[in-house]
Amino acid sequence: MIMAPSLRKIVLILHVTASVGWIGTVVAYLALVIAAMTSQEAQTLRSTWIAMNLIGWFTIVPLSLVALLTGIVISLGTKWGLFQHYWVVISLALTLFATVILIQHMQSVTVFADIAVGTDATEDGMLRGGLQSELLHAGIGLLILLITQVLNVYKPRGLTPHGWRKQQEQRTQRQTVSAI
Amino acid sequence: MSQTPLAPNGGTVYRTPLWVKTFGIIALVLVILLGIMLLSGVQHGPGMHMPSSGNTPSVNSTQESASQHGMKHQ
Repeated sequence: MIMAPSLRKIVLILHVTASVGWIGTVVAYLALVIAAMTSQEAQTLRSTWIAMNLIGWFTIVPLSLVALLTGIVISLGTKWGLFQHYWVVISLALTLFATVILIQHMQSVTVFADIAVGTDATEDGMLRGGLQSELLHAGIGLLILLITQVLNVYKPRGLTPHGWRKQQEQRTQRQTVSAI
Repeated sequence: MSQTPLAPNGGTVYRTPLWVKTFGIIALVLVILLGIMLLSGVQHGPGMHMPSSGNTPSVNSTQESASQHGMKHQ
């Protein structure tokens, strides 16, 4: 079903805003991780974990869900379709993968943030050790988001077998109609 | 277009684009590497940074504890 142009534009604005916002918040998250890694202050380390937990649950996760949902809606409501073009399928797969890993990983961040709220100084080594995993997850996450962004802007040609069959069917129908 | 070359009967034949094949190979290699990493016993999740027994303070945590009490390192 093709969406009305006005509705399509609203969904597109939401999708672009959420997608770019997601990238921006991951960059901010990475800045926090690097700040904590390079700081010797225990207070910076602990407050960073608390901030990362808040940024994660209240900005990154909602933005990822909005980007995923609006992406599905806009592909279904335009000529691109959800499974007809490879760039759409790969974008969907990468976004879905990033969202699932993000939500799963945020459980770990919450565990560390709960530890950081406490005042036990013996936990600081563990909090510092956890930052390496954050750098890896946020770094790979950012790479995935940038790949998705490039795919969405360039829209490289290539029909999936399903899209190709659909195109063939439409071509046959058009030939039949013009023959009549 | 790369996916619509002509078949001997005059129709078109489906072909997967080259960039998709390249993308797939890179993704497959990364997934295999990740699988090997996980199967080789590398722990994943919050447990990978937790101490295995007791709460033995590490060198870092001792330094942090010192800095919390006003003994700055710089």
